[in-house]
Amino acid sequence: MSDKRLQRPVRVLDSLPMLIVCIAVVSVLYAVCLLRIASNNAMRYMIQIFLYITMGQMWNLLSGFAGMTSLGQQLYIGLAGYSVAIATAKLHLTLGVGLVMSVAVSVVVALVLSLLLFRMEGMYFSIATWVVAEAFEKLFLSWKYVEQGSGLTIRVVPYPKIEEICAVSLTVCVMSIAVVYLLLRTRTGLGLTAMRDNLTAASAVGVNVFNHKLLVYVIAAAFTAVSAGIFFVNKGIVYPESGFGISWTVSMIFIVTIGGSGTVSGPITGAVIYVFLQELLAHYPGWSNIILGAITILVIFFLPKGIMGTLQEKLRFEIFSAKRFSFAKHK
Amino acid sequence: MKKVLAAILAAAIVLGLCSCAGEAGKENSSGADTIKIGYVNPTTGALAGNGEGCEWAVKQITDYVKEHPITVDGKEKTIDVKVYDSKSDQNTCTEMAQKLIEEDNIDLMIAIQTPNTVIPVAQVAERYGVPCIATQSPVDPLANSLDEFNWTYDFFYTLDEVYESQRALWEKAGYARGSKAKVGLLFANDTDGTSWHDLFTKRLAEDGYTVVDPGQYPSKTTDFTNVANKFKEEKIDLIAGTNIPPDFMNAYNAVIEAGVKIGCITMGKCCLLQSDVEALGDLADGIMTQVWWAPSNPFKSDLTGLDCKKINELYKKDNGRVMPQPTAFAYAGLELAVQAFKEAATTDKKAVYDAIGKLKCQTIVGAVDYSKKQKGLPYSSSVLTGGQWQRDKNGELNLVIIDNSLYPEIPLTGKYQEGNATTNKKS
Repeated sequence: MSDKRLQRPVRVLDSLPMLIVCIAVVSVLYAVCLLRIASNNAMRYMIQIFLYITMGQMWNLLSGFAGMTSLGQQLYIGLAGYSVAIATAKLHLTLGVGLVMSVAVSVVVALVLSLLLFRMEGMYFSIATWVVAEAFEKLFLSWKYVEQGSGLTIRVVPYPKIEEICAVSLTVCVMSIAVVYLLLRTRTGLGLTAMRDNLTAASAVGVNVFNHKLLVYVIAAAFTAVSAGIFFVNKGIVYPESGFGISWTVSMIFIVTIGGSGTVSGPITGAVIYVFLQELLAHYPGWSNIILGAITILVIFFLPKGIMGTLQEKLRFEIFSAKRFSFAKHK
Repeated sequence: MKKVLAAILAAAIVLGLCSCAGEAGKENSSGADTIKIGYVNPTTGALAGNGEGCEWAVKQITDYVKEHPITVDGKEKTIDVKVYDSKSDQNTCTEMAQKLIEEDNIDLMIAIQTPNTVIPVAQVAERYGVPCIATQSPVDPLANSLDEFNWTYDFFYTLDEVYESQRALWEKAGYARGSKAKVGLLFANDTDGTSWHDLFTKRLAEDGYTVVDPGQYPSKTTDFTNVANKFKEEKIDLIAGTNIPPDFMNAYNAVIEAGVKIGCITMGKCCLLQSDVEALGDLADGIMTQVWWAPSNPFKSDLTGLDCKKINELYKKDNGRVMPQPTAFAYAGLELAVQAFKEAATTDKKAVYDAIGKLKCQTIVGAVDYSKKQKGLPYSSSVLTGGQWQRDKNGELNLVIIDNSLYPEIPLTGKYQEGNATTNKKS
């Protein structure tokens, strides 16, 4: 029976209708934010979902597509939070400049760190990224200028309205999906997938491993930073523990694993589930982490490809596929 | 087959949660006759010790108001306190505070249990314009976190007061002002540690003590060898600081192992609960700490009419041990919330905020009067006395109040005595 299913063609949903659907969905979301059709509470959910999609998408780009499983993306989250806080509270700049600063700082740090980190592979790379993030946490904890462990408040008057934060998050989210999707459909995307599957072989057939890694790492750093910057604007205060904490990576792994690693639609599904679960579990103090953990274990055991990965395999379709051809069309 | 099973199981979990949450939601929305109070509590995580007793305090006050409804907006109403867990994580604090305001539509926020919880929660309340009663967090760190406060009142001590209360304890131990006694500092570089550190170094020098500062350390450091060596080299006389229990335990063990002779030790935060102090073993008795609430305090709640002794008995009956100090503040915070609605007689946010400022009442932790201001933050000082952990005849550790110089109306329950923690005995 399973053989028969495998013979069925894969439908890649990326034609013009799909594009129209995407544009329509995004326009509706913008309208919902900006015309204030949604309640503040709905927008609170939307902001979280958009930002987690962006972060999940970036982690997935690193781990799911390029085979660079980073446990240290919180480094860029912390840096972004502090960039925005320093820009607004210390340098008295606007929020926009703060967000640009957060991206700039993260890109520079990513470029410098790449020289160090890319000497390592697999498990060693993962651990090294985590260690670097921890080191930065300790640095900010003892840095007088950022008031050490007391945290830094983001001071802007007037504070941006929730619909503005929501619209900006949506923009970043759409951009991140578009960048990942388009990147994967280029020559680079093919190179990345080859690298993930077998690094030596990819290198042997002429994939420039270092350049590919660098490109992906810097893109991930930039988008993670801008989404984190918006996240902290929505929160109002950043602490070393809240910026550089490992719990960020745990969330990203949850989102990508549940949704489906190595698919563009996976992190979208994962983020929606994650945010709703988080909100639901708040009613059960003490239990939330246990339940979240149990769900992750169940999914890893029984749906190792995640929800979207499994669905796509069973129903033989792909959304936002990295494939540049569709079996269905060729038949 | 396995996969189907897993899918069913996962679906069951999610559906179960949904239905539970749905029911919980219904319960809440049932009342235009209830006043909603938001409460973010560190139920789990590093601050769980502080968050202990929250549920109990909430039940006490909710039950009281059920029996004695308050008249608000011309109707008799009860209160519904919505508690979310902060997991002792600052991001979760803000998330839960936003959830309380946007989803649960609370009328008032209670920000409580250390600056780590209070600052993020109070900031959200400020941004969204919800009246906020902050308590159990020193005034200075909160006042420094924003330029102005339009919705928040704090009810706790200032750092100047805590310094003076620790100084009174050093004097009891024979280290007077101007004696040039060497004070070894133990401060982590977290919110509390940083603000205490800056004030302590300044005031210690002014009062004629010699400061021995080994530098602040990240919280959860395990290796304190250099701190111990510095203390030994400088031959310190006493140790002062504030720490979470694991940090203090590690630092203290390192210092003792290095053979530092200590004449007296005053420590904040980690020495509040008997269980935390007992974990220090033999060296626990003799350690001094500031006390913000004790069952022997002479206060009586204007709201419920219970005094400290009675309330401690109630807690002991339900939980089998002495009521922890933070729980007393949880109770007091809820008292204030109810008093504020009584005073305002409306749920209009601005009116409730103004009513909090006008409150002049007794709670079980002392009288409230929000006429003082630090920077942009209006606050009311809560009482502060000096205590020492002493063993009774059965070897049981008790927190004995040995100094009341700041608030003489609070009775002493014992006298200073040298304990095992005094490794450099004078007598």
